[in-house]
Amino acid sequence: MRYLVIVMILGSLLLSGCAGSDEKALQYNFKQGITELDISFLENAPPREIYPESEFKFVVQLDNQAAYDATDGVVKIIGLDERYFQVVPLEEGFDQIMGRSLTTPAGERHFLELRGYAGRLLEGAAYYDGHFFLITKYNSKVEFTDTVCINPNLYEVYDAGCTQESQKSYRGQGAPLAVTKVETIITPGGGSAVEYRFHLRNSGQGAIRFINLQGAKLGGEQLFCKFQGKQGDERHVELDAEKQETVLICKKPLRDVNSYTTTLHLDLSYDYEVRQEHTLTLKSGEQTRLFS
Amino acid sequence: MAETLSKEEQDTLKRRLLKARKERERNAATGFTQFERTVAEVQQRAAEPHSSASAARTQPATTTERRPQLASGRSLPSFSGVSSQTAEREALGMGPYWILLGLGLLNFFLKMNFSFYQDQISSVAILVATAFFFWIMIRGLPNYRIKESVLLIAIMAELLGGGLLGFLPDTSLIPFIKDILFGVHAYAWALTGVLFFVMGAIEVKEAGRKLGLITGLALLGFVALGFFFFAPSLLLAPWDYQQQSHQEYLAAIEQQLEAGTKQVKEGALAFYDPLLCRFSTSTSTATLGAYDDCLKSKKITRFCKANFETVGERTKCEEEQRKTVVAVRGIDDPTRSQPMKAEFIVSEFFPKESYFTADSETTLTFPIQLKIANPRQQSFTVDVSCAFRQGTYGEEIPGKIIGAGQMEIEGIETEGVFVCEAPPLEEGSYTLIFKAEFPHLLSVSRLQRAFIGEKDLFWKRQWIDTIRSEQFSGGAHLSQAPADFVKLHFAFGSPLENPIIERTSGIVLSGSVENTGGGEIKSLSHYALDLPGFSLNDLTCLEGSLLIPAPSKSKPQPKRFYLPTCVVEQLPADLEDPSDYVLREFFGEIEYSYIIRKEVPVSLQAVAFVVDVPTGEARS
Repeated sequence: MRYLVIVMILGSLLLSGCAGSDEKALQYNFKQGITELDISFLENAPPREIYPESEFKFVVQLDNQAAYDATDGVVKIIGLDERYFQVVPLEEGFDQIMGRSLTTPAGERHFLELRGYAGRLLEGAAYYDGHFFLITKYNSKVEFTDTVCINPNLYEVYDAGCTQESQKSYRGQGAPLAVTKVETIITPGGGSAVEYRFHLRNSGQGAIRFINLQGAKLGGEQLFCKFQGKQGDERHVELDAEKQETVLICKKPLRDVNSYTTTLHLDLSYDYEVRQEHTLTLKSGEQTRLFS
Repeated sequence: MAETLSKEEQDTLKRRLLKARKERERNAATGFTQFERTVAEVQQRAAEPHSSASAARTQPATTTERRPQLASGRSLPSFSGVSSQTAEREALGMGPYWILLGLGLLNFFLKMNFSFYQDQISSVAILVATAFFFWIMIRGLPNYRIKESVLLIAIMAELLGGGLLGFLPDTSLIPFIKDILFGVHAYAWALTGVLFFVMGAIEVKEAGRKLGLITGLALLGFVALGFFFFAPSLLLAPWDYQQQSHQEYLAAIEQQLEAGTKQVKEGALAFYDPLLCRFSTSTSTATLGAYDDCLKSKKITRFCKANFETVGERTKCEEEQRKTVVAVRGIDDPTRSQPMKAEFIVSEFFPKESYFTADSETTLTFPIQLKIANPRQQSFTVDVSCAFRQGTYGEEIPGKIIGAGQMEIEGIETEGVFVCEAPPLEEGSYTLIFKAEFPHLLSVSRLQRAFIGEKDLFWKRQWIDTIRSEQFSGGAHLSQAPADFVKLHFAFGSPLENPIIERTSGIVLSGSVENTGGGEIKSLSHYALDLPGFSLNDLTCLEGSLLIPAPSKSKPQPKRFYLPTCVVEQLPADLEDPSDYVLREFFGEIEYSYIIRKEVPVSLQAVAFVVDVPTGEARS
């Protein structure tokens, strides 16, 4: 009897604890703000100064703070002269690093190791500075969801439904690529229609080369979308390297004549490249002193 | 006064006085009127013997000048041909002559910097402008006719000098004439300015005015320069007793002036080249750019003639120069910044004055310290020698280094003392020359390039500026040479200084060697650029030797020598189209022999042989 009571108490504690965390997680919306995969070297890997003909390691820590998984990623080191520093392998890949979610609220952390070999200094040289780039490329996605009001009959003063916002701004959806603004344009009358203009911007540290539209729905129905200024494949856009923003235009005919509230959902995938600049110093062990 | 004149003369004078009064009434302007001159003449005539009256009439004197008188009473002919008008002009003083001098020097400067070779129009413009301004300036000056003649001679000298140079054959006799013609051609207007300046000084002096201090100093300077160039032997003796620093100072001036002449010889002022090339390339079969090629060819020929003595050397020089010459720059390698140094140090105990007895064989010795910094720890040998020279142009009499005269260098710092034993010399002042020769020195330069291959616009926009700023900041797009005596600079790219290599086409490779050590390059036996896997149109770009002209008193050694320029035809496979970009460092090496000199003035004095024997009294 006593054991039964203990088991029940423990079970109750476990259940209450789990229920409490689930509820807390549900309250927390990961898909907000600008977050991304954090990339860094572990302390002393590589060391700040390397002596000639020695081995060292690069340990790259990938900490996904975005709300979405990073997939098909690769980490590489470029820009080192192989005469001074050889890196084996030059790149390492990863399949998936999970983003922050109910199951992984802190995000997934991943480590990659690359081995380095220092060469010899040029005769008489005191040191050599090898500047290099740590490049991380991966694919990811971003989802945008909001509740919107649609009012096809703008001039109906007796419609006491919702109030439509012609323009609304957003801080981000938990990824570097963000919907920053949505404009709503209603075409009233018999053939009424709604047009949404999604302003997309890369607000992260890296660069986005292309964006693919995976899906756009108003309520449960598909929106007809195209990226502004695009011909051909209207659901795919390549961003300019310097101007990392674009506009997605989505339209849909309206059947209802009265105002109503519904959900607007957008699903985008993109590639992402983060570039970090680092320096390795190959230093001679000999100290020289000359007369002036 | 009237009693000493004849009746006829008195009537003549009265008529002239009357005429002069009328003239004074008409012209109340300042200056010397006929009336005043006549009054002065009458006064002078009254004081003179009667027999010289007619001579006095033909040689009127002005009140403004006092000319020396001949025994006959006739005044000396004036250089300035004075008149009342000239007296007014003389009031200008030396101002116009300073301007003329400035114009002459300006002409020389313009010739040096805006060469005739490069621009035919500018050459004509410089000549016309100079002649025009000279003419404007001399119009208001005394002795206009004489000065005008000098001006015409200057114009002719420049035109003829330049013209004749093109037609003189190259024989052993002709170079002397060519040198004179080059000199006239280069300095024609500067000399004309000086000549006018001297004439002006004489005119002002004759007018009874004093010359200013600056003018006086300038004249003295011209005289000194005249001696310096035309009678150097007269100046040699006093020089021998001057301090070394004075000699060096004068040598520096000499070098500056000689450098100007050398530049002229090497082609900067080839006035006739554009004309000759214009004619020779005016045929219908001449290709596009033939005119430029012709000009370049002539400049190369002159450069090689000016720098090399033998036909073989000149031919090799021309071959090297005909390959495209590109000035390649470089920077000091910050990772190898410790300079290589070698210096002779004269101690305070150095016997600047030595004494020897004329009747015995006294050995005079002179010690010197050689200090070498070898930060890159090369292994090499230094050969030290010494010689004595009397005067600036005297023959060098070799001395003897007591002991080995060599020093092996391996460490970072090395010091050694060498003692020079003088050969039997006469009493006098000498310049003791110590030479340290460093054979087979090596210097390695490095150059970084980033190979990107064929990339799209997105990649280029994203990366090229970043690569430049990260990998090539601080001048790292240029080759980096250690602080050695001689530096090798090299580069390749499209253009040369672009460190981003996109594709094979249009990549040029070139290099140069720069002497920064303060000494002279004796030889440059080998240069090599390590570009593994590269395919070039001419392999002499990658490896070879350079002909280095030895310096002489008239020809200082150039500071920079050029390596051939080539075109890269094919990049190594791994650099042609990398997936991202590849940074690669390349090395170039030179092997050279170098000479460091140190000149020390010494004085050798003969003394009588005296034996100081103490006497018995003194001892007691």
